[in-house]
Amino acid sequence: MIKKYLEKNNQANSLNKAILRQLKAITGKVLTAESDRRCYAYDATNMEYVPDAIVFPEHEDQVSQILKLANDHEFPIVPRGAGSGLTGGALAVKGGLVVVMTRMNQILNIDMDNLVADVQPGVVTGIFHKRVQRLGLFYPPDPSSSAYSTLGGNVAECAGGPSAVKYGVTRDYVLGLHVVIPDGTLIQTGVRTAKGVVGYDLTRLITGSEGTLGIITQMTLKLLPKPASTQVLTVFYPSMHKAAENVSEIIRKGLIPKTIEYLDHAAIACMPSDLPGGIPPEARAMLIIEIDGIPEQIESECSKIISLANQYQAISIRKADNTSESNAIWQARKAISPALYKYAPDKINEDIVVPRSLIPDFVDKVDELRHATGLTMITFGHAGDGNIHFTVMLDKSDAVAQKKADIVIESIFDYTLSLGGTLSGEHGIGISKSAYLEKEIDPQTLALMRQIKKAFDPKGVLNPGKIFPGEPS
Amino acid sequence: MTLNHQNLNNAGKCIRCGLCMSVCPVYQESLEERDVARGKMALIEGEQNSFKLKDTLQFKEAISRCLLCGACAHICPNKVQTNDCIQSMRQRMTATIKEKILISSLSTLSSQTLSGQIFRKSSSVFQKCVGKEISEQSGLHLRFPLTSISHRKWIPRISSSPFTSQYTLASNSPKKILYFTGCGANYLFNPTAAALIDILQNINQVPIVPDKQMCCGLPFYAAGDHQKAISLAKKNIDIIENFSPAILLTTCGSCGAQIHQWKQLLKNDSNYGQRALRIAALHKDATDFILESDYFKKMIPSQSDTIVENIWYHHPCHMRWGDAQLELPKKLFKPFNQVNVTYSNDQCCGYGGKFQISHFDLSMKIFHRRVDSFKQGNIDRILTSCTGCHLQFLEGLLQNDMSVSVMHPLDWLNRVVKKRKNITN
Repeated sequence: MIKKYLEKNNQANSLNKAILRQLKAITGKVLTAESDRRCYAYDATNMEYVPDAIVFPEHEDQVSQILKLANDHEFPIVPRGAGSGLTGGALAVKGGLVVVMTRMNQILNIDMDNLVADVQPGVVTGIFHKRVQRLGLFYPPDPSSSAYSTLGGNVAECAGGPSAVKYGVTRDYVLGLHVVIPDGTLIQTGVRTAKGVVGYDLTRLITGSEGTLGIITQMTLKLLPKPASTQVLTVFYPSMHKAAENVSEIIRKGLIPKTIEYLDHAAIACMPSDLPGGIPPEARAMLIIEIDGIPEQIESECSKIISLANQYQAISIRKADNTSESNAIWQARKAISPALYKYAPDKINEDIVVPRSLIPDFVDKVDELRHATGLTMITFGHAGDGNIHFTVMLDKSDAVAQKKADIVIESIFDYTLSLGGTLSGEHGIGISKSAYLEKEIDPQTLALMRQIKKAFDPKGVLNPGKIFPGEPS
Repeated sequence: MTLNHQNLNNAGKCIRCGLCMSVCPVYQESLEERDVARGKMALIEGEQNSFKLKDTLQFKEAISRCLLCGACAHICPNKVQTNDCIQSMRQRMTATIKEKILISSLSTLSSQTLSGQIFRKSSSVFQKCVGKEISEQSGLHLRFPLTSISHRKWIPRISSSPFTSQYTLASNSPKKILYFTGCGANYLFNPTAAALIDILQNINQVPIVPDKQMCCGLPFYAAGDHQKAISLAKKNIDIIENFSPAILLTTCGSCGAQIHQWKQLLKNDSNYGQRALRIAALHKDATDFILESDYFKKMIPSQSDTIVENIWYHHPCHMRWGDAQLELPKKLFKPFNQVNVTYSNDQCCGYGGKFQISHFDLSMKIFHRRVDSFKQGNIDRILTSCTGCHLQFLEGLLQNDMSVSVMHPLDWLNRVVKKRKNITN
């Protein structure tokens, strides 16, 4: 496989010996060896930018001291959780210091009476899920990477997941934050209560700001009571169109499942052959539907959905028999994104959102582009909320394919916006999509966003080169 | 392209998704990228792209910090053979002096030469002298530092004569069974071997136990000494073929996995390649074999409530996936309705062969994750079918000042069947 190593212009003096000594005095350990820097050069985008040094703070005041140092000496700071992001949020595109938050990984408090939890940013999402589940509680945001991503990264990117149709996304569960802003000041935003309208809602501003406004050091998260039970359905269709129409119809009928995931035929081919119930050979589309609630309600919703699926020519409908079957189905679904590499060595992955009633139109558009270009295109995603993972698999060393892909992405974005959609539902902008930001956001609004960034980070030391297009480098 | 090259090129298939972080015991302890497979793949790919990292201390350290438990390779959505890749890099790296010493002391254990015998015998004698003050109850738990490993609390008491030399029986059983003891049952845990022979005799099977059998080669393979691993594989194949067995039994999960690894090691060998395939096809884990036999029907015809115990069963990594993969041996405990079993099936014990020796503290931290559950669960006994895991539990329990007996499942089975017989008689 040919891979481009995107080497930055080595700003050799951005972190001089005196600075490294001070960093060491703050955290006790600074990694600077070539070998160690290579291990923090990538994230799940599989692009590489080698940082100058890496630190692992363990306390809020260490984060504050690190940021103050960076601000005084004007070197770039790149906050990093598990490095599982898909748009390059954790990449040191301008070198500098990577601040790894994985060691601040304590669940500080779970308040069972008020259903809130105080956590540090390095807590692994999946571990948090299990912890609250054991207490009969539920934290709905569940990105595909939840087994290894961190809650801090989830908040910084405003991660979503399959249950947004019913339960919303990460921002709907962040009540308050501790954030260190670039001059080293610790600010506290938000509340610990269900309501709160005092002052500007900085919590929402920082959630999804991709580490460009501050480093989150503590979070107050909202929890829900765990639904009594769940039921997973897998349904196969003869065409993507039928499946997409079925989704719209399910929602129109007032049935709101916890999750409606869809897979096109290319994504189905990435499912393991031992998927419970098997995969009918003639299947061209698949829905994974999960319903939660009290058992009687599940039973009634389930039969309604099954009868609707039959109306839309479902080839096979299967109710998962037990938890281990449901788990196997979800595990297979979560593994699709990385498994797509069997088609080609490089992936262009967009997570556009369209109003869910317009999914069939979007699917038609993809078919049209597929036929016109001959490129391998895969769509799957959260049909319940209209968030579609549109993916082109190609070999980037093939200039013709790359050119075609650029055109395809451009027209997909234009089409998405014409449907009233948005360019990213949950992955963020990072460096992967900054070139397209101006398609969606008008100049006046973008200018205001830049001013907000400046108010937090006048010297531009925090995660430079992200979100905004054409950043002077 | 050599096998080594092919394995190293595997690193380029890694897409850095990070899923391996969710299963890696070393990463979960340190939370550092160099410790997880994607970090190592980035380093190896970088090295392959001539970034000249190989000779740096940090690179060597990163490559050495792997248990080779195989969890990452098992879960990898892009099917990157991370194990083979890391092993091949170890092979390519210049062995440090410490590693050379380690490999040579392992060599003496594995070789049948005079020096090997002397090493084994002298250490056995030495231990007998030192061990006088230690109660027989914890005969294996010697507080005695090995040369390079001063913080170790337990060192093996090596039996004065290997099991293979104590046991000589020609096979006259209907099925021709060959028992490959491995170094564990042969030198350290003779009761495991004795239990298997006992159990087999109860179902009228008399196995062949070749006294010339060699180390399976796994320690060398893991340390990157492929040549030694290949030569041991060939010698073992020669010895095993001599007896043309119908079944090849092992009591150590790691030996079992290595017998399947022989296929991979010898796949480019025109002579041994096919033979390794045939040998691997004969392999069966001894516990699995007993569970499928009529032993239970014969020895424990009805439910037994005379044995009351809390057991912790640890499933070795080498049985959790790969060619030697096995289901949990739940059948083993079915006849005993007063035996309460906790299955540990999702975490490496932290041994990892050479890993425990070169990264002792980290290895113990990984082990430590389970100590709380031992304390809460009033565990009477730990069962595991792998020499490495067995050694790790002995050391780890001692480090935590806990006294729980550790044994092979067949050793336990043989004891409880005998005990039950005594009670019912």
